[in-house]
Formats: sequence, structure tokens, C-alpha cells
Amino acid sequence: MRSAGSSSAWQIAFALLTKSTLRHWWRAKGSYLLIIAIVALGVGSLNGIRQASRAATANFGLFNEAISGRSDFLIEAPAGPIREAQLSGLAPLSRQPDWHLLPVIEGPFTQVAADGEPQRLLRLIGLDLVSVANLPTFIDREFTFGQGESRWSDWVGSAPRVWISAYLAERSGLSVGDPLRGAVGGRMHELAVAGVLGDGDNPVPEDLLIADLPAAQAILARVGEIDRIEAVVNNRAARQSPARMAEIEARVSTLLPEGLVLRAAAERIAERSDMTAAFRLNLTILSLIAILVGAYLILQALDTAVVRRRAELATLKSLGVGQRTLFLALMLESLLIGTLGSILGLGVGMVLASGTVHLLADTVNALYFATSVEAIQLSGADVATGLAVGIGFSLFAGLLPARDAMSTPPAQILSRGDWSPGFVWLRRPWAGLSLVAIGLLCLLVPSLPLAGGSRLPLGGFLAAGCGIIGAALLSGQTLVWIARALQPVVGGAAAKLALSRLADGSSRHRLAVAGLVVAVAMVTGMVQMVGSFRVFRRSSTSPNAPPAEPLRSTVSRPKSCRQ
Amino acid sequence: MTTTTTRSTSTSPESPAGASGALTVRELRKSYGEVEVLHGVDLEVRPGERVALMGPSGSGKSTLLNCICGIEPADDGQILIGGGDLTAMKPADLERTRRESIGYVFQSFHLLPTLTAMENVEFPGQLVGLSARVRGERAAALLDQVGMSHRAKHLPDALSGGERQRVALARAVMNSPQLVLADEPTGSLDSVIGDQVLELLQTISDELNIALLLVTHDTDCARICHRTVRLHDGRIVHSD
Repeated sequence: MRSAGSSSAWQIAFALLTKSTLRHWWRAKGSYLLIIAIVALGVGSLNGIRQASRAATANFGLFNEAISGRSDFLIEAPAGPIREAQLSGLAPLSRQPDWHLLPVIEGPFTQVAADGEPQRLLRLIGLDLVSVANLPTFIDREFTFGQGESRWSDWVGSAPRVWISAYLAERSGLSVGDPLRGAVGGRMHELAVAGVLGDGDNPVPEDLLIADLPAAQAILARVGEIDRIEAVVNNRAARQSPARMAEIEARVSTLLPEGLVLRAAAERIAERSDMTAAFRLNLTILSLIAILVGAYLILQALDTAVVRRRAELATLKSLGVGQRTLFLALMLESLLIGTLGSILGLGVGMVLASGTVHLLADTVNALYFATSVEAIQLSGADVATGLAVGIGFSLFAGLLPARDAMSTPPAQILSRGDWSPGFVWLRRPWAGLSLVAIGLLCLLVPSLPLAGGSRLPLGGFLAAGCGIIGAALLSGQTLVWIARALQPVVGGAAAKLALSRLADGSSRHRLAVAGLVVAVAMVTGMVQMVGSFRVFRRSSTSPNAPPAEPLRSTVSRPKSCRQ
Repeated sequence: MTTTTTRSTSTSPESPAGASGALTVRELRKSYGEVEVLHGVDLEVRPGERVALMGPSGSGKSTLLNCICGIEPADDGQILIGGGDLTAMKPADLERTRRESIGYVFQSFHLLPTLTAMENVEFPGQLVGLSARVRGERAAALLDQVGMSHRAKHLPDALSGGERQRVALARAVMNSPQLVLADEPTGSLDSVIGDQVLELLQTISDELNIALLLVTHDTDCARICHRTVRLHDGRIVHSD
């Protein structure tokens, strides 16, 4: 019987997918479900972190900006806090009508439960409440520090009173007048809740505590100092005019006393934004590790499938199925695993994001700046990224087994049933040695300067990558050398048998060892990276300073008050 | 009988001198490293002719068969099937020839384990682009011919050795190839079942006018063949 024409490689590959691959899956459904679940977890981790970090950092800024509005300029000491002695020189600045000066102090406050257990880390912001209450933004957002007939003199001063966010009030079951217990620097404090700020329409950062400046200084044990003074231009229309803003900046600079520096608030925001970008990068790398694990398992599963189906592949070749078709069939299998895992991963990501967004917001608040959580959203970019990463890694993992499937000659398979090329390149130690050598050379590459003054250690990254992969390639050979060295001195049949298998050093043994080396290296690297981040944060926070007198009278004056 | 020590030749007395046979092998040479396995083999099989290829282990039978099947490249010589030279074909043409012109029956059956008996027989038809209806009818007829209609929906695991070989036989002739290569087709079967399979091979070869090259150690198997070719150390040393 002569045919009208051969089926295309794609048609045959699809036929093999439906009649062979899927039926193999059904026979080993537990294994394949696990692989798909792992891919889903990897994609879910990636997308969940993306979504959660986006929702948690959507509305970021300096903590006080949620209350006082966006500042235009920051007056700071070049290093450390602003001391009382430096404030007398600010009097000329504070008398100008074009801007408000807002002294700010901030620090961590750990809320503790009745049994003394830490509950959550809050951010205590000390502001001159009289000055804040006169700010246009504060008035526009209908915030108020007092209700009814209360007077501003009731809520200013050094009494331990704080205003909390609506979220914290709801979560901790606090209302006005309730005590809020917490610790600062090992000292316990009991603060009185003076009011609740924000609501659904006007959210404030969840972990925000507002206190009057003297109260915050006392709580933080930093009486006599402030972190910065923010300048808010009164005429908000002037912000739209660069020339007007430049003129104001020049005037402020002229009046600035010696020992203090002025810079645009946007610079500070950009710095914080860079820090969160690094934070998000860390989280993304962590989620990529999950994907890598999934890819490794796909590689192992498909490699095992190729070995198990060796006779079947040989038969297909004998029947006239081409190499390209077999490659396509295996890649379609990878594609299916990746697609199913990625689609499931989108749902997993939503669940993970919902569960972690508040944890993430807490961390961002604790480490960087104020944020309020937005609703979790699955954007088109999330879907595209999840699918691209999940499918991309799956296809990458399927490449080697698919190449094995297509390149194994049927005659050899049929005549020697246990023959399979495997990952023969893992048997070549020179590849690992070369990569390690290249990695060492990369250390000589100077870092690249970036915009903003920071530098990218490109050579370091390349060296680390080459070192990890090179060590992974060498690890299998090292295992072989160790096994061979131990063979003459080890007794016992079981030990001899085990060592003989290791000394043989099959490519699959080597792949398993390489996978372990990479996994341990990446986890160790992440731990070190996170650790270094913490050290950096600790070193960049202001040290406590000896007490001093309140500063309100120096840098601000009561104007009209809403009371 | 033709015997040679320098250049091994086996041509049926009735076969034409050209390449009009189902299979024509000319001066075929194959080496593995320093070891030459086939020393210029000549062999011709006419359409509908059944030839038994015999010889001791290591004589080169399997290598010759793999070369004829196109899954081992020859070092030198020609292999003509249906007028086309396998040794000069591009891989895609080689694969098409294997799909359309050659059927293969293995000692260990090699049915595709996830396909039912019916699907196994249909599969070669799918490879050459037959419509589902045509290949379904054809496969059903072949299964009926080998007495396996009642087991059409069973997977290979559920079939006995003899049943599997019957299905494999039906699969081998699904695309009405010019040539069926059978490598020890009764090697995994008991004598009774083996005889039944041989009878089927003979019947199908006669009915469909398909040439058969039967590789075997068993002289009893050769009884269904028109002639026997003996291979020794890569040379054809006997043909009758």
C-alpha cells in the first residue's frame, strides 16, 4: 500500500504525545503530578512574590508623608542625627512664609502582647503635631489629631500618647484610650492610644505610630536630636515650576546654617526605591531557586523517561520515525509539563501572594519605609512572566533528554539494551576546571559604574556563576576520585559494592551530585546575601544619643490650628 | 549453490541482473573500528521471494540487517530497495523508505507498550499519512488475517508472546512494504506457536507478494523460505 504522502514531524509528534506520552503519564500519574506540582510551586513562588511585593510596596514613601504629605526638601546632618546645638541656626529659615519646616524623628517600636511576647515591629514617627495639623495635605485628607472640643494643647507634649493606623487598631483590638505596650531598645513602654488615623479612603501605613516630637524623642531615648527636617513648600502650584522650585532651593540653601545639608526629597525616595528593588531582587532570586529545583526534577524525570522508553524509542526509529520527530515529541512533553505547571502556578501564586503580602509589608516597613497594602492583582505581565518562566525552564530541562532520545542510534539500543548516552559531558573534568579558571580570571574584571554613583560588580557575578557551575561539573569527578581512593582501604561487601558504583561514576551519579552542589551553593549564597543586607541596615541606622531639650520652639511655631 | 571466499554473492538464478528486485545489496562493507564485519556482501531478493539468512553468532547477520534497514550506515557498497540506494539517501529519505518500503519483525516483538493491538497495527499507516478510516479498515483486516481481531483493544501487556508476534507481523505489513525483515521472529516463542507464526509469515508473503528476509539460527525456520543464504565472518559462503 502506497501512501498519499508522509505525515509531518509535528503530526507524528502530536500523535505520540496523545497515544504514548499521556498514557505513560497515566501509568505513572503520581510521579508526573508531583513534577507538575513542583513546577506550579516554582511559578507560584515567583508570581506570588511579584504580586505580593507589588501590592506591599505600591504606596511607598517616607513614613511621615502619609500624614504630612510629600516633602520637597530634606535638611540633614551629613552624618548622624541633627543635634540641638545645630538648631538655633534654623531660626531664619523657620520665619520664611513660603515653606513649612517639619522636624522628624523615627525609630522602631516592638509591640508586645500582655504576656510579654513580641507581636509586630512598628515604626514610631515623632512629628511636631502642631505644625503637621497646619499642613494643607493633612487638612485635605481630613485627618485630625483630636475630636470634638479637644484642644491642641491636649495632645502635644512629652506624654506617651500615640496615634495608630486603622489597620493596627482593628488587628490589635485597640481604641482611643487603650494602652499600647511595646519595647524600644530593651526598655518597656506603655503608650496611650490618642487617636486612630486613616480609613479605607485615606489609608495610612499599617505599622505607623505617630507621636508628638517630644514624646517620640522620650520613647526612643533620643531627647535633643532629630533625624531630619523636611521642608514643605506651601504653594503647591509652585511644585510644577522647576524654576520656582530652584529659586526656593537656592533661598533655603542660603539660609541654611553651617553643618547641615539640603537635598531634594525625591533623591531620598529614589534611594529607598533602589533599596526595595534590591529587596525584590532577593525575593525573586529565592523564587527562581524553586523554579530551578523544578527544572532539575523535570530533567531527571524526562531523562528517566527516555531511559525507560529506550526500547520504545528504538522501535519508533525502526518504524521510520525521524530524529526530529522524537526530539519534538520529548519537547512537547516538556512543554506540556511546563504549561500545566505554569497555569496551576498562577493560581498558587495568588494564594501565596494573599498569604504573604502582609508579612512582606511588615518586612518592608521594618527595613525600609512606609507602605500600605493594595489588593492582590494578577496582571497580564504576571501571567506572561509566569508562563514564560515555567515553560522556559521546562523546555530547557527537556533539551538534554530530548537530545538523548534523538541521537541514540536504534541499532545500538536494540543490540545493547542498557546503553544510553546520558550526560557524557559530565565525565569531562576539563570543562569544570576551565570554568573555575575562567571564574578566577573574571575576578580581575573591574566593577562597572552605574548612574547614581553605585557600582555593579560584574566580574564578581561572572566569577560566582563560573565557580558554581565549574565546581558542580567537577564534583562528580571528585566523588569518583574519592571512591577510588577509598576502595583499597574499605572492607565489607556493602561498602565495596557502593564504592564500586561510585568509582564507576556514571553520568547520572554526576548529575545528581552536581545538582546538590548547585542547590547548596545557591542556598548558602542567599543566606549570606540576606545576612549582609541585615548588617547593612543595622550599620545605616542612627545610633542612640544622649537626651536633650525639646526642639519645637526652635524649628517651628504654632500657627492656626484646627482645634 | 554459490560459495565465495573473496567476494560473497547470493543471487537467485531467476533474478534479473539489474536492480529490479525487492532488495539488492552490492559490495556492502561495514567496519567497527579496525574490525571489518561485512566484507563486500552481495545479495538479491526478488519481489515475493522468501530468503533465510543464517549464520553463527558474530557472522554479521544483525549488522547486515541493520544496514538494510537503514539504521546502521554502510562504509561502502549499495543497498537498493525499490530502485533507491539507501547508502546515498538523505536521512529524511531514509526514514521515508523505512516507513513505506520496509517492514520489521523483531525477536522480542517491540510493540509500542501504550498502544492497543489495533493502534500498534495502525501506527505505521499514520506515519505515511493514511486517513484514519483507511488505516482503521486496513488494520482491522490485517488483525483478522492474523487471527487477532478479538484482541484488538488489548494492550501488549495483556497478550501472550505468540499473540504479540502476530500483531507485530500485522504491523510489519500495514503499509504493504516491498520487503519484510524478520530477525529471529520465533526466537522468543515455543515451537508450536513459532510454527504458527512462520505459517502466517508465509501466507502473508504469498498473499501480498512481499519479499521476506528471515534471519534465523534455526534451520527448521528456513523451510518456509525459497532459499537459504549462509553468512560466515562477514561473507556469504553458501546460497541454495
